[in-house]
Amino acid sequence: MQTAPDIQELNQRIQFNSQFIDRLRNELAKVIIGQQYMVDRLLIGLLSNGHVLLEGVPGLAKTLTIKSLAQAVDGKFSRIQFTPDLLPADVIGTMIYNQSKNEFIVRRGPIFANFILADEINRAPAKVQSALLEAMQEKQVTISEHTYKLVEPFLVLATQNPLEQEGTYPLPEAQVDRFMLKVVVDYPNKKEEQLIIRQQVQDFVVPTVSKVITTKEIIESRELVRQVYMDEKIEQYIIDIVFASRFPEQYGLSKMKSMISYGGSPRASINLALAAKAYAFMNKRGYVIPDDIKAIAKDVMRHRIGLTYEAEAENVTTEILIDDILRTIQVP
Amino acid sequence: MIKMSQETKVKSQKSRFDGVSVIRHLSSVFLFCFCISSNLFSQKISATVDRDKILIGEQIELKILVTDVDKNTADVSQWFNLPDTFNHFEIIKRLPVDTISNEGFVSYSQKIILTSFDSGYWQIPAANVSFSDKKTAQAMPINISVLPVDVSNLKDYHDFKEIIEVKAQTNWLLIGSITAAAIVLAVLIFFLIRYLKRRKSKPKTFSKTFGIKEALQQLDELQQKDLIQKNQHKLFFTELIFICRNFSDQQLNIFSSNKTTDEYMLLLKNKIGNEPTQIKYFQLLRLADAVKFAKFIPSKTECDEAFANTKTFVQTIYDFQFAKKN
Repeated sequence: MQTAPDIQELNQRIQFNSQFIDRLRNELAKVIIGQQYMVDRLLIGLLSNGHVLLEGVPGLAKTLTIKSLAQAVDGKFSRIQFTPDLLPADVIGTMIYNQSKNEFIVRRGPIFANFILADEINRAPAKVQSALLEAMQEKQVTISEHTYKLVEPFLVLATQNPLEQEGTYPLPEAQVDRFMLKVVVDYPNKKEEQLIIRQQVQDFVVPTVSKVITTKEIIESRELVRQVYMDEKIEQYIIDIVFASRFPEQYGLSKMKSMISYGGSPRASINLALAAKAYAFMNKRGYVIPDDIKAIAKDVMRHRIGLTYEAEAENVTTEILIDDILRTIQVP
Repeated sequence: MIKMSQETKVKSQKSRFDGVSVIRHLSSVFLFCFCISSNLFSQKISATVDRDKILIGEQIELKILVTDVDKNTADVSQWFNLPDTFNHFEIIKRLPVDTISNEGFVSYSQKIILTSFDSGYWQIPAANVSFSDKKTAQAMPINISVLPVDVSNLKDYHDFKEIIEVKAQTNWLLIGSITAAAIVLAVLIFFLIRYLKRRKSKPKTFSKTFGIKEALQQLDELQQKDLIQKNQHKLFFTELIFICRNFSDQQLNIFSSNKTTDEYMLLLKNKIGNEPTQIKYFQLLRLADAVKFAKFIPSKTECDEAFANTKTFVQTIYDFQFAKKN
């Protein structure tokens, strides 16, 4: 049996270096019951240096998950509750006057952390959202005349409440596009809910998360994730999926044309590739297979496809459209 | 004497009465003549409309005509003037006053187009014209009915008629036709259902060579291409799996071209008919994935084994499905 030496070696390295994933999952499972899907998507974001937008009703352990992840990775955690009166300076920081030294000093905002939970991001006005999203994109912030690099790893987990739309400022399409994944968090199943009750009501000792990996190791793993091999056929598969969202009629999906106002941007293709690599890494593989693409396609694409009024009137969701695309595009 | 004086008195009274009546008669004649003469030579005014009933918004043409005006003695000093809105009427257009000279006399006429947007019975006021000799002439006011809808074409109301007893008539022909048609339809449906049931229960017979011949032929053709010898492993495995997928799709009536390997394996589970063949085929699929997506280069033995396993898979799935269908 022969393999291209680079991939064989990469496979072995990944199998060795991705062992922490299982430890991390087990550690998080101590405090978070169920929500494996959300945990995996957070890990994909963490490994591929992409931010995650979470959508789900309150009480689904979103905050707990990211807080636990920060503890397990030994990173600094910040939580910003977005409110209508929040100012950009409240997020990135500002200059304050130090009376004793008789000078202005920089007071860094909560964004200077490894893991940021931007809770209910759509409650703050556009200027605050822009400040955060700009920092997410640039990985640096400017306070007064100085530019400060943000710490690595830097993962923003933003949440949106899908139930309440009163007094909210929905994120514009261009800004939503900056999130690598949009994960829809669902309720736990019956068995999981039973375990949650037992854990919260019966157990006197609240489990804590121990440090499993350092932020330095995460950064090294990111390097390895980028090296995961992606064949040309897989690249073509990604391109076909994204192009089908833009020009559905070219892929025999003419009925979808009137449902889509805009398709996935080039960021969709980039993030689909990156997330697939991270998913392959998590599955201890040194190469991407079509299953990886299918597994993360919805999370990468759902916030990057614009629906028309016609689609909304017919209760067609982006998930339905992505399913149709995946059903139509031939798997390599 | 007294009698005479009385007669004289009577006579004188008579003669006095006669004088008064003559004066009266004369004055009547004079007045009559004056009236006639003044009537003959004075100005005349008339106001007419083209219709006295309109629907809301319809237009009326009001024509004011003043004739026999002597410009030298009594010309028109003030013309009849209507405001733009008056008494539920709206003036749409005022045409200019037309002057017509005829044998020393002049006639003036003006047309005014007006309408009304209120239903009811409204009056156009009397047209009034003043002349330079201080005289005035006045036409009669005009009444106009403004109706909300056109009722001119509606028929008159009639009284209710007495109730007439109608004898029920049974159309036996129609009832008979419908019944016959229903019976025929029911019989047809019955036979159709029976036919479909029989058709369903009747096992399908498949040709022994259905699909397998083509699949095996394609495999032979692939082998003859010598892709392994040419180090085109990726192409070899791509075509190999393509043939297998096509064949299994045909045999199992599935569509696997949009399925990933895992999804395809789920579709095939327990449908190949032989556990060891299934395991070997699944291993082949994994191997093909590694060759296609991870630059994996299998050895010659592995390739030969893969080819043999493919043939076994094709034969096994065919035999199993054939046995199942027949």
